[in-house]
Amino acid sequence: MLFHSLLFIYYFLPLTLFFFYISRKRLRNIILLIASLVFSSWFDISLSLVLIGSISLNYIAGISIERASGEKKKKLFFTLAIIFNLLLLGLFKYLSFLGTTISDLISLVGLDPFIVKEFGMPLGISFYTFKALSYLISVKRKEVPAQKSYIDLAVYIAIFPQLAAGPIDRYRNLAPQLVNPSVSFERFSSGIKRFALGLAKKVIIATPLALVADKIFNSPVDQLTASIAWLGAICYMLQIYYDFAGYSDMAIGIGKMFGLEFMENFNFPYNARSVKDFWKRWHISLSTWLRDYLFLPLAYARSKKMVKDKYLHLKTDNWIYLYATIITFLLCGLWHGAAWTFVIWGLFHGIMLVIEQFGFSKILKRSFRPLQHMYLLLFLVISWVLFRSPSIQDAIHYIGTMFGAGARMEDFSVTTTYLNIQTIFVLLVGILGATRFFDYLLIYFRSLTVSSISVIHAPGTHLYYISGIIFVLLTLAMATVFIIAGTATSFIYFKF
Amino acid sequence: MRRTAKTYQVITTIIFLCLISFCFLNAVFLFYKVPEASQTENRKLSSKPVFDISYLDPFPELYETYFNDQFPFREDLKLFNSLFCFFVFQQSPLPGQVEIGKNGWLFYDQKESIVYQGKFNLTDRQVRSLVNELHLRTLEYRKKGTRFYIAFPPMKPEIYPEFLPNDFKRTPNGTLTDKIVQAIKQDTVIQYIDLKKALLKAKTHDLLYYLTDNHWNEIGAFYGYAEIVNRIRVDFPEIRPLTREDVHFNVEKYSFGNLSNMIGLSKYLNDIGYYPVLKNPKSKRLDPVHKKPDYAAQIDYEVVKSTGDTTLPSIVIIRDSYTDALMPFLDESFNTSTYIFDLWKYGRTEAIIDDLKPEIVLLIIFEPHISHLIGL
Repeated sequence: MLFHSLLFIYYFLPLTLFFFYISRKRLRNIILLIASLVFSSWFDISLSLVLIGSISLNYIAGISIERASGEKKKKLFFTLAIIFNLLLLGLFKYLSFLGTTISDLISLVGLDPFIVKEFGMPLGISFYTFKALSYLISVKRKEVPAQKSYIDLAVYIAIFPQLAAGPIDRYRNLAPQLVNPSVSFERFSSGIKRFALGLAKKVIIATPLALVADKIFNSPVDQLTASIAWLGAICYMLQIYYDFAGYSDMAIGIGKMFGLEFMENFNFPYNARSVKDFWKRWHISLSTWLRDYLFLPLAYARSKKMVKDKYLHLKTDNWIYLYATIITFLLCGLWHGAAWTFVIWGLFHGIMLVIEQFGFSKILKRSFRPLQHMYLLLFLVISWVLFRSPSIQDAIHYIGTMFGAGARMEDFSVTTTYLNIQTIFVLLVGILGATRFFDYLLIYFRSLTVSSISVIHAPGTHLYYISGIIFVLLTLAMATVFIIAGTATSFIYFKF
Repeated sequence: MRRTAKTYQVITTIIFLCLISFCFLNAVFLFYKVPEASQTENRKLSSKPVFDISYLDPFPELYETYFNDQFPFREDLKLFNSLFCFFVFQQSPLPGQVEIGKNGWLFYDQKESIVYQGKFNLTDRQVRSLVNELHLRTLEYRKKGTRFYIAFPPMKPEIYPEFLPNDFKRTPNGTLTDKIVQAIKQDTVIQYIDLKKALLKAKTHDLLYYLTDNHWNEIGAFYGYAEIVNRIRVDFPEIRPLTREDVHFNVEKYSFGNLSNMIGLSKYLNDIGYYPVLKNPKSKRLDPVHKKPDYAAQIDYEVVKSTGDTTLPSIVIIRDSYTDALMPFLDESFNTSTYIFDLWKYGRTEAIIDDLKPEIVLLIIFEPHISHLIGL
C-alpha cells in the first residue's frame, strides 16, 4: 500500500483518521499502532514480524540499559542491543550482497561459486532500525528516560507515515508528541495541503520523469546519443528529488493530520553551492543522524588517539575529518543499498567533501555564484547516474556516453521523441520547483492580498484561501486519475 | 483575519475528509453502481477475496486489486486520462505497454519492443539448443510419416518500421529471430517458411497489419497463407491453394484493436478491417475430440475444421493468435485441419499427433515468442 494508492487515500487514511479521532486520548496510540502494523504487513505479512521483533527487543533493551547498575552493565546491554539491530539489518539487507561478493571472490581463485538465499527485505527496515538506534543512544546518553510503555515505543518505531521511507525522526522529538499530540484544524488543514503538495510532486512530476528516465536508462547504452544520455540523467536527478521529497511531504502532511510535527527532510537541495551545503539540505533526517551518531563519535574517538598537531605535513584536524568523512559516507552509500554502485556513490560524495574541506571550498566561495551552482549540479548529475545504474560498469559506460565516448551519432529527431509536450512541461516545472521560484511566487501572491488580509471578508483573503482549496482538490483529482490509469510508480526510497 | 483563516481551515478539512471518504459514502448512499465487467478493458472486474486466516499472504494484493476495480467512476476517469494523454499530450496513456507511432499506428511495447531493439536476445548456445529442438521434432515427426513445417509471422515493427516512433530503433546486431533464422537455414532438415520476405513485398500494394492492433489483418494473413501453402504444395501437389479471386474482402470500420482497447480508445481511433468472404466455402467446424489439459480449461484448446475432401492431406497446426486470421484460408486447403492452442507453450502435442496421424504438422509461432520453445 503506497501513499499514492487508491486503497491508502480512500480507505486506509479515512478509516485510521476516523478511529483516531473518535477514540479517547489514551487509546489513540493503540489505533496508530494497529494502523502501522496493518500498513507494514500489507507489503509482506511474514516480514512484518521482523518489525514486531525489533520493537520488542528495543523495548527490553531500553529499560535494561536504564536499570542496569553500573556503567559496565549499561555498556554491555547497549552494545548487545546495537549488535542485534545491526545484525537484523545485515541479515535482511546485506547478507545476499555479502554472499555474492564472497562467491565472486572465491570463483576468482578457481573455487565453485555458491548462491546465497535471500530472505526478502522488510518494509522500511533501514529507517526503523536507525530510529531504534537513535532511541537506544538517547537512553544510553541519558538524554531521555527509557520508554516504559510498549505501545508508545512501538508507535515511535513503526508509525506508518514514517515507516517506509522516513523521515528518521529522533526519539526526543517525537516521543513527547506521541504522549500528547496537538490536534487542531490549523494543523490538520496545513497537513492536508502538505499531503497534496507531496502527492503533486510524486504523481505529477516524478512519475512522468521516471517514465523518460527508465526508458533511457533501460536502453542499451550503445544505442544512446550524448544528448539522450544527458536527458535521462537530468530526468533521473529531478525524479529522485521529487519522488523522495514528495514522499516526505506526504509523510509530514499525514503526521500533521494526526497532530504530530515530523522533522523536515529537504530544503531545496539543488539550490546548494557545494557538496557540504547539499548534505545540509538533502535527506536532512539521515544526514543529521549520521553526523550525530557516526561522524562525530568517529571524529571524537580519533582525536583522542592523534595527539600531535600535524601528521605528514597535514593538520591533525584534516586527518580526522578525512577519516570520519570517508567512513561515514561509505556507510551512507551502503545504507542506501546493498550494491557496489551505492558504495562508490557514497565514496564519491565523501571524497568530494574532503576535497572541499582541504581548500576547494575557499576557491569555490570566491568564484562566480552561478559557477558554484554549476559545479554542484554537474557533480550531482554524475553521482546520480552511479546511483541509478545497475552496475559500476554500466555507470561508467553511461557517463562516458554523456561525454561523447561511445555515443551514437547525434540524431535530434530521436531526442525530440522523448521531449514531448508533457516532458517539457514537467521538466520546466521540475526545474523551477527545485529552485525557490514557486516559493517566491507564493509569497508574492500572498503579498498581493496582504492589504486586504487585515480586513475581514476582503476578496483578496478569500482568493488566497480558496486557491489553497482548489490546489488540494485538483491535486487529489489528478492523482486519482493517474493512479487509476496505472501510471503511478513506486517510491525509489521504498527499496532502501 | 484569524476568524477567516479558521473558517477556511475548517472548510478545507471538511472538503478533504468528504473526498477521501468518497468510497464509504458511495457504499452508504449508492450514488454509483460499479459494473460487473469493464467495458474498456473487456474483462470481468475482480471479486472480493476471501479472508482466510490460515493463508494470509496473497490477501493484501488481491484486496487491493478488488478495491481498485470497485472504485466508483473508475471507467470514466480512465477514459478521461486516455483521451487527455492521447489527444492533448499525444502520448501513450499506457507507456511501456502501448507505443504511439506515426500516422495513427500503435505498437505493442512489451516483448515485441525488447526483441526488436535487441534488449532481449539469445546466446549462441540458446540458439543452438532451439534449433536442435526443431531439428529433433522434424526427425521425430518424419519417423511417424508426418512432414513438419515451421513459420514465424513477423511482428508489426519488422514490416512497418517507417511508422515506429523515432526512438524505437532496430538493433544493429540483429534480433533473436535473425539469429535463429540464420541457424535454421544452415540446418538441412528443418522446413522453414519465410513469411517476412513475402509480406515486405506485399506491403507496397496492400495494407497488411491493423493500425490499432499488434496482429496482421486478414489481407496480411492471406499473403502469409499463400506463402505457407505454396511451400507445403512442393511436397503435397494435390493441395489447391486459394487465390485472391476466391476471396472477397469486405472493408469495414474496425474497432476491436487490442492496442486501442488496452488504452481504452477503441471507439475513438480509426482503423480498417478486411473481412474475408469465400466464394465457395467447403469447410465445416467439427467438435473437438481430445481432452483439454487442465491449464487450457478456459480456452479453445482444440479447433477442428474439415472440408471432407479425402484427396487432400490432413494437418495439425500448433498455433497462437496470429493463426486466427489464417484459419478461414487454411481450412479450405486440407481435409481436416486441427488447430492446437496450448497457451504459447508450442509443445509437441504427441498424443494428439499419434492419434490423428496427420500428413502435416505446422508450427506457427509469433516472432517474439520463438524463445518459448526453450522455455524462455
